[in-house]
Amino acid sequence: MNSSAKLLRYAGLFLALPFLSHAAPVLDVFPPDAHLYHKLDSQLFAVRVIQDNGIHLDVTNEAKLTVEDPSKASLDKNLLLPKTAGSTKLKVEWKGLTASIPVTVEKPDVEPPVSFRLDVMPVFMKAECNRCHGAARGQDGFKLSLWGFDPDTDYFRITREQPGRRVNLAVPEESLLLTKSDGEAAHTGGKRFEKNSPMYQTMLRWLKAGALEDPKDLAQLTGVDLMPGSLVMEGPGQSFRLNVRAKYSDGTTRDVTTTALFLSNNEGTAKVAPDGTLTTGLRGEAFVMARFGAFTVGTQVIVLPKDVKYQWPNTKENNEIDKLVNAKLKNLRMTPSPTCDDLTFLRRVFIDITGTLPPLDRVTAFGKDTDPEKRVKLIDELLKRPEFIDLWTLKWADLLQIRTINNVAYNKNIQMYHNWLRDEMQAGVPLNQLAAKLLTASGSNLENPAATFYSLEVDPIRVTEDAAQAMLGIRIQCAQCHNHPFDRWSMSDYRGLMAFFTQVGRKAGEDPREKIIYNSGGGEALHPVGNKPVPPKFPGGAEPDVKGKDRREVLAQWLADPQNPWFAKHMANLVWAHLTGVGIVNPVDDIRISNPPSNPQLLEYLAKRMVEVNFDIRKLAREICLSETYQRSTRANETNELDSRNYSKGTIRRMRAEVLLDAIADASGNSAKHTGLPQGIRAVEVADANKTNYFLTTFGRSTRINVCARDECNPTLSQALHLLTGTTVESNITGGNLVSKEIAAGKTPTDIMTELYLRVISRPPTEEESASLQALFSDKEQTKATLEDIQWALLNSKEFIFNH
Amino acid sequence: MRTPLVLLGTAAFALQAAAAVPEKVTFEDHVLPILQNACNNCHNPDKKKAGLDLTTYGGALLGSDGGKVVLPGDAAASLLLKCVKGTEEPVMPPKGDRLNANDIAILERWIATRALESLNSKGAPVANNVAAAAVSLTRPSGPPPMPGKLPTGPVVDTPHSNALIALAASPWSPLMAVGGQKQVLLYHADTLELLGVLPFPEGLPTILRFSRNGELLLAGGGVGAKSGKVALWKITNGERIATLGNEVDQVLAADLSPDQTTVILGGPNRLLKFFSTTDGKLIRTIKKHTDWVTALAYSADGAYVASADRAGGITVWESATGAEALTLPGHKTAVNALAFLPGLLVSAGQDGTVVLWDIAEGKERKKWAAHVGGCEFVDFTADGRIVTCGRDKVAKVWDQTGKALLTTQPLTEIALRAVLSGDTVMAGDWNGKVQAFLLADGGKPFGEVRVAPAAK
Repeated sequence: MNSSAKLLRYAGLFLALPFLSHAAPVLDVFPPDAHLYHKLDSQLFAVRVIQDNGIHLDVTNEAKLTVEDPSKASLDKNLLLPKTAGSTKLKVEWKGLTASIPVTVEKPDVEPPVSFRLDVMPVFMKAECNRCHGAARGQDGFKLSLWGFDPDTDYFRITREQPGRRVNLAVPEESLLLTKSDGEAAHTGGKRFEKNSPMYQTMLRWLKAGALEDPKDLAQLTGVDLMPGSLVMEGPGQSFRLNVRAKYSDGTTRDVTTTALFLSNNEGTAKVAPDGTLTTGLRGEAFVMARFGAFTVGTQVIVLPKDVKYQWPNTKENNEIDKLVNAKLKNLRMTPSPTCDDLTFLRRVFIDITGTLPPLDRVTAFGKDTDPEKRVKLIDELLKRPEFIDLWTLKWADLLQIRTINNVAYNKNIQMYHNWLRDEMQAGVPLNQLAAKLLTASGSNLENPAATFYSLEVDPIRVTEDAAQAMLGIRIQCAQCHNHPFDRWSMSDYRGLMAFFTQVGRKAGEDPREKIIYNSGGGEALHPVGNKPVPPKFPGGAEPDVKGKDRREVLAQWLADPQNPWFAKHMANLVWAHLTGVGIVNPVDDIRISNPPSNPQLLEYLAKRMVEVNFDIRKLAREICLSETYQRSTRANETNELDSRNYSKGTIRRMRAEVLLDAIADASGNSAKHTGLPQGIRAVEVADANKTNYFLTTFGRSTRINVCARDECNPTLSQALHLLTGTTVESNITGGNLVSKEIAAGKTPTDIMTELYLRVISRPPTEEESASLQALFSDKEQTKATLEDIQWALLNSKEFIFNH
Repeated sequence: MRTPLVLLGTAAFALQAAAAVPEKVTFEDHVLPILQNACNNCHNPDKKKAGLDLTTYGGALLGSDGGKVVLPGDAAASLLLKCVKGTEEPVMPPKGDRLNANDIAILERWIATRALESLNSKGAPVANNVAAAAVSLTRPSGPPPMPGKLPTGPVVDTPHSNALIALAASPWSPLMAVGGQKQVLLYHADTLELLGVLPFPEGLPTILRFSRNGELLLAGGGVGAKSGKVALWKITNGERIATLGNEVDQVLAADLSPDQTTVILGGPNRLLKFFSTTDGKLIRTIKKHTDWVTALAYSADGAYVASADRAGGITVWESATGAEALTLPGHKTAVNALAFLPGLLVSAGQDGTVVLWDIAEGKERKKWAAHVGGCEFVDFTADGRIVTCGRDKVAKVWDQTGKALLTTQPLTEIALRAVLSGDTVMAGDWNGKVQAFLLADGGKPFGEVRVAPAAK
């Protein structure tokens, strides 16, 4: 390198460094401890350094690894092997940074038996056998369960479905299972592994031992860790060794780095080789997954271009939410937008919490208020408003599909159901309790309106799918007919969940509007394959004892349990998505392995908080609204222009149909009237989805025919045309008659204009706007018409229609 | 004494690794094994991808829909070579590993040296020593055929047994045939004495059948996803008198016509193939079954042949013309076995039932539940009794009304094959344990035979 090039490089370094946040480099070793249980056990290590600029490096090769007591264990590069029982430490050193990893060795002389589930099944996943053979009808006559979800059947199919063909216990090497995989026999899927591979050896050992079924008390796989939890890499062509560890019900762990299957949702940014080595590509974010047994775990990988100039602006952090959001933004080298101004905040928080526009007096007062706590106080005040309850009743009414159905759900039923829901919300019943009440609802729907939950939909298939989507955020529909191709759900999981709903009895009361819901104690969910009843099973969980119990009670108990892995997350995400405009998992009702959360740590935290605040929407909403993240301006800077999922700026979103209609009436000083309902009932409060009008339908009000979290705010041409030329805006301006009233009250056109601005878009006109509009007031004859034109223009402005 | 063994292993390995291209490369000896591994899963006469069949010399030279793929003497211009080398699309094989350099070199040399078929150009297939037999529905005259002095040493001996999937009883002699690894064992039905071992180097026998007169034994089988053959032996002297078929997967079902002129076979390729026993030629192929062919049986007079598949379909064919005579719907899941008596066909299904079919009427005559979990096998005795076994681990003997005459004590695993010879029931299970029971004993086993003869 010549000296001028060197100079340039140093100059680049010099320029780059001052913009980066400084922190001491950190050395991490994965896994943080090691346990070797038997002779064949081993542990791979990866060593990471987080540099002072926040970039992660794999220094496994460069670091010095030593075993403190070499009589206990030995090292082959980064692979730790057992020698004698006892404990010692693995010492890691890299450029003066050190780490000490506790190591235990248990029975280094014992060779454990091969287990079908724990040893052989992972081979099918790793060698991707069950990718083709996992199809609903198998492949070339041989079927395995998709992603190995059904080990019992897989064991049967391999050993006993076609006796004598797939395994040959007399000459194990000649088993079709092996000859197909190692390229010995013709195989449409080609060669899957070599004879000398660990995969081949595992299968061969199992066959040699007689292809035995596992003992009944076999330890179960309880979880999988993919390490590290997140990665920030710089530049293409960098590599990092991932580490995967499985956990079992007997408390043991196992290094499954080489047996897990790796996937990346963005191979252009991060690609993973079968041995777990990740290689970076272009700038971007990737979600890298390791699949082992029934578990899929992921890690976020951010790849930055080399030498990006960036400085974290030291933005405000009001609470833990901001810390978690900002941690991701720092990694992405994104600068968040600044705090929004007072009036923007006022409007945003009014719309988000209450679904209403800030009244005129509040708009004038809030800007002038000098109390530093005024935003906090406003949030607290709004959360106590009944409109907050109305808004969340509306959201749940969508989820529960509250609507009249001819001869099934009458107006009375719907009104009672809706009132009951609102009362529960008003009383602050925790969401998990609310869900449990709905699931277990019994008796007459005229006495216990919650029972309407089971009279709106009678088909257990629909009840199951709707409940899963509304309450757990999972779309299990695919698994009705085949195992879910992009998620973990099998047909058995589907029927297992459905089995909770097959014993719901329904009988007619004397009143045609009455339905009595009871536990019939009979009825099963039959598996479409084999037509055998599937016992009730929690999604991704255990098969509970339901003998003699109302199965719904058992399900409700599971759902309401704070430990439930789905409910708190889903509810927290619903609240978050409502307030920020985008779910951490998006769409909110599509929680799926292949649709990972944009910020898993944030989702975990919110779910934890949801449990801590006892499923109280108000408390979680308060914490979110208080965050700097929530209060960010929607104006982008050049680093976060393209961001839509990381909350570096406020999200601009259209008001939902009901809120927008109410806002038009409110801003015009008009009072709403809906057909068949008393004057003054707002659109948000309407119970029955079938009581709609042209405006609501056009603006995407939920028909509540299905549970889907609709894309409620998609703009359409009819919406634009309706606002411009339709009756809604015009009739509200006429109905409110605001301009005439104010003229009669003796206000000047300028004052009235300002008032219109404040009422509709919650801010005074800018000087420029004011100046250009003033010119229109010269024609005194036309004052009313001019002002109403301004009012119409404001109601048609994006600034009004959107929450920003 | 470990070291020399290890050294020997290393030397053998070194030899293999250095395996150079032989001087004289032929299709049969060198090229076919490569094609079998890499190409024949798709380029076989059944799938015939791109119209190319690489299982035979003729097929390879005939080429594909796109023209010749082998140009004898011009390796560089031969498409076969270009595709496996990856120099021209489509690169072959499309999935899995590509051929290694040595295999490519062998193919190259084969084509360059004018693509020889075999070392000594065998010419027309060798005529088989199979004599036509008179079809008789009654006991043949003369002494029942029994093996003379045959070798009883093992072809293969293994510490573990595989599932017992091939078992047959002679209709007239106290003789049973048991399928083992690359061998068929002949046992005396009364004394359980080993009378002979017939080598079947073609692989694992999956089906054994005695001829109607008891003079010949048929074995079908092969190596899974690789090759399938049917062999015929003379019982008395153990002479292999014919080897038929050139399948790309195991033969799963086969039978010999009562007149001994025809062998029918079937397997995972869903086809029924008729072979002449005298010249080994393929007479007819029938493509009808929609799943693996699992069972085949000739009627007692040879006029019909019945076939069954893994999807539950049973079809009866006129054996002379191959015309479809009957379809017999009755099993909803796999049919595992078929057997014929004059006018009667019996089938065993994975649904656990046994069905008796009246062939003249083409109707179901009697159906009963025989084995919970699945009926794996069924056979008729010459005197009209029925023997079955299944996943409930027992073997049963029935009369034609469906009345159980005997239920054996449970075997050690699911019972896969059971036959009746005189009053001896022989049944084998998934563990490879073959036990003998006497009808009179009420189901207690009186002995056991090995699937592999003990090494002497």
